[in-house]
Amino acid sequence: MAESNQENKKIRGFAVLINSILTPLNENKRFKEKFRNINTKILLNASNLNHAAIIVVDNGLVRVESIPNKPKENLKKQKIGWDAFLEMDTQTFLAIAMNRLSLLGVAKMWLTRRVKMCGIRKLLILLKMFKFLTSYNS
Amino acid sequence: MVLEKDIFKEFEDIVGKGNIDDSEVITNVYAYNWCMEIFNYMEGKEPIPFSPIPKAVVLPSTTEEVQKLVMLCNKYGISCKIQSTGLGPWNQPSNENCIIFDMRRMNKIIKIDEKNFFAVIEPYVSGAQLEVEVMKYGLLPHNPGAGPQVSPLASATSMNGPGFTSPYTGHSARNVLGVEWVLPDGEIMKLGSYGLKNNPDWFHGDGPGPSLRGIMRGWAGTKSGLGVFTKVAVKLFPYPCSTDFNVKGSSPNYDFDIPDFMKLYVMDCGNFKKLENVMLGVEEEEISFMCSYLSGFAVMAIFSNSIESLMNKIAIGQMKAPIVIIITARTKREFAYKQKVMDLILKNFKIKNIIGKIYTPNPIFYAEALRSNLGLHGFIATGGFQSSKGVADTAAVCFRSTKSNIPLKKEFIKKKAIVNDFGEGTWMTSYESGHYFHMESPTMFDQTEESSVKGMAEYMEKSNQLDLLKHLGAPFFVEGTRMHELFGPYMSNYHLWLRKIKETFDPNNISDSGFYISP
Repeated sequence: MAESNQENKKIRGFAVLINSILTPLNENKRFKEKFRNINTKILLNASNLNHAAIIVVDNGLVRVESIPNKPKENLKKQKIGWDAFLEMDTQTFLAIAMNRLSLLGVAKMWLTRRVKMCGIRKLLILLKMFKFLTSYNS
Repeated sequence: MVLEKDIFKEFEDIVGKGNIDDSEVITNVYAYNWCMEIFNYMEGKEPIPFSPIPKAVVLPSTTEEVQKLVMLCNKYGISCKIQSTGLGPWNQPSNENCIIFDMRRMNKIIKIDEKNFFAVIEPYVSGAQLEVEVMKYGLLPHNPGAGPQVSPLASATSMNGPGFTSPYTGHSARNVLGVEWVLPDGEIMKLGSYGLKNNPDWFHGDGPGPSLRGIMRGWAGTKSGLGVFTKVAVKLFPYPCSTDFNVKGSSPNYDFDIPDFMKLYVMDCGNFKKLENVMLGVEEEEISFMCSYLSGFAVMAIFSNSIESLMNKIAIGQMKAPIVIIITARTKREFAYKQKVMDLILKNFKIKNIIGKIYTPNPIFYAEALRSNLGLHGFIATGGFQSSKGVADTAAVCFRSTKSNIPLKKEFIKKKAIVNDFGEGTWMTSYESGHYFHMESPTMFDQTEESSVKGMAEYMEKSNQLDLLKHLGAPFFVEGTRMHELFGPYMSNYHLWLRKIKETFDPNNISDSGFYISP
């Protein structure tokens, strides 16, 4: 992970955060190799913010786009074409990304509707991506 | 509440025209300071970032002028509050019958004794200024964690002063030598070897006779509650590596050539028990220039200059018990030895250094570490930041304090009063190669949001109570009458002695006692 001062001007709000977190993966050779055949689109919505993030995994490259999360129709699968959907507040998201919330914890939040998700199999890809962020063999 | 015209004239005659001001604008500006809102709320006042407005601000330029000003304060029963570089609420008057002495005209490095490793400085010399000058002789001063922009004189005489280089340079109380001190009655006191009748010099802080260092500053300083310090000698240390700085670019993204013999280690120990053992292990070997435990979030912050760059370090934030170590050397052989020791420690404890593998910091980090300039990154997330705790004790006590603080912090995170650092936000450093340790809990809050300010203040209060309840030592913000009276009965009634000292040295209560103790 090298430092970069470049700003992505096209994306806004929550997507900027997600972009900052995931962009380092594009410099990870092992990630590129492992994900070279994966194409997927994951929608991440922060319930306490105004923009959702669309994570596009495109043959080993990660790209993040943003979309206003109001009206709700903006986030429809038919409109965006996402393969998986995840909604929670930013604090919960950071807790997952920083490994402070276990899968059991996420399940508990899912049962109490504080986390909403769809396309669980594809969401596992996201977890794998987070794991790569701490890979020692890049 | 301004000065009467004839009294103003008397003050003006001492410092000269243009060096005293009692206008509304100037006095109001001087009433502002960082974190004043928290301390106001803790004292039962409105949570605003302003202290009582001073009657006037004076700018003395010599010890003699300071002496005359103090005498005049005694004559008219006006209290004085002293500011050196002026960071934080400790510089603020506690009542409106007060004049601020802004020491910015006393900004000289009086002496650098490169042979005996000390420098004599005035109040407005900053750590950065001193460091630049003593680097020419291959020497380094101790800079507190507040950063190189603050006054080493203020830190050495009147504050705590742990710093990122504390494993190597100790803390401010340990670095003070001879002192020139204008007592609250106007008498000039010379402490240590500077007070010798024959051949006075600044090289020693104690004697002849009983040491007054305890009265002068004790553990945490009197914060201008007991006179004015006009000169101080501070210890210097051999610069830990080459002094050839090559800095390019512009702020904050400077580029810097990392010195040849300097290496950073950031490792996840996984849990506090292992972290304690690693810290003690490293310090036992006396090889570190910096040896700190920082929460995962704080490690992300010390490498960041913006929220965006903070967030792309989530990978670092996943570490549960990170330790940050810097080793430095002046020769290739010394460097090879230190690296070898570190390799062995890493192998024995089965931990991995992430630097150069999953993260490579900007080279400017190394310059900031050399200058103890990492604390500023605490402001990145919200712009508001303050520490609770501040104990100096064994590693075990510091870790006990760290662990017990997590659930308390989480309580206030849940209330959305403070930033979510998972309750882990703690900085811990060794002092002097692990002979003892310091811990404090930096906490981010929103200074512009009243509920956040109140929440932060309530958290600090509860943190203090927790320290008393669980015997976790004295936090460094035990200051002011209320706090001393709270902690005193649990600590050999020290507050009674403190009050006797105040009454003896300051019979007219001239030195503002807001952050010390009232008579």
